[in-house]
Amino acid sequence: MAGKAVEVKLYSCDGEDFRVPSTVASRSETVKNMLEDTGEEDAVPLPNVHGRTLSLVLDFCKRLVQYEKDLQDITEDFQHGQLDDEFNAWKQDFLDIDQAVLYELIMAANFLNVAELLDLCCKEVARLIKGKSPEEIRAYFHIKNDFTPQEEEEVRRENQWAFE
Amino acid sequence: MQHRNGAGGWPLPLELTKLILAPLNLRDRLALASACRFLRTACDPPDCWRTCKLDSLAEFAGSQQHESSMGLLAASLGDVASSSNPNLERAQRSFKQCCDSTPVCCSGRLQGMAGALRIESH
Repeated sequence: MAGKAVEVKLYSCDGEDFRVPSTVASRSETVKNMLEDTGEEDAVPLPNVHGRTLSLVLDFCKRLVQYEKDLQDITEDFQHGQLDDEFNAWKQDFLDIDQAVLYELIMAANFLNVAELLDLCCKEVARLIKGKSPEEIRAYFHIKNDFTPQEEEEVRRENQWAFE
Repeated sequence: MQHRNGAGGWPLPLELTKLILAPLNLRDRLALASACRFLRTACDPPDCWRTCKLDSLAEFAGSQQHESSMGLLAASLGDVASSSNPNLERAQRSFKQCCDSTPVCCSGRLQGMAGALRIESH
């Protein structure tokens, strides 16, 4: 067995199968616990995650595993920064996705318990919020203003001091 | 797969929305809280801050003297805490000046303090 990575099989709620090294799948704490309970031979059902989202989650986990392996292999300090830059650039490309996909990724990262991915995606949504007015936030995130006129006036009065 | 929460239409549930708040400064949080009812609830300061006494908050702010913004805040809180007729507007003005220079790690605490200031005024 030495030198040969064990592969595990995951399948999404819409029936897509994914075969990945267990080192990659185990970046999800949820999958890792399931593998420990049932063994690596059985396919792992993920009823809350669509195939297209699971594919992205696994892409992230693969790249994360690669980054961590590369970090272990470096011999010079300057290479550390280079690897960080490369990984950060990769993450920027990775996040070039539709809003709806970003939300699905957050839900999946939360369910699968992939802390690094959840953190990355939450920070991306926060980045999209930063500097926007309430009106801009509503327009950007397609949020309906469900305040009554009285409530809206109250909110405006309460928070006005921060925007003057 | 849609995850719309209530009439406002914000796409994430409460516990995940709270995760998103972490890197936001006070001004961004207040803007978000002004967008819809669900987000107003999500951005509300935690209950533990509501029960805090202003003098405790002032003591905390005073302990952060390495941050000039925290010092300013401490002065504001001190004014409010020691006065029988709290000058809320002055405290809020000082607090507003703090917001831009506040490090991310402190924004949650500052949000709570803002909540405490407003509550104390009623």
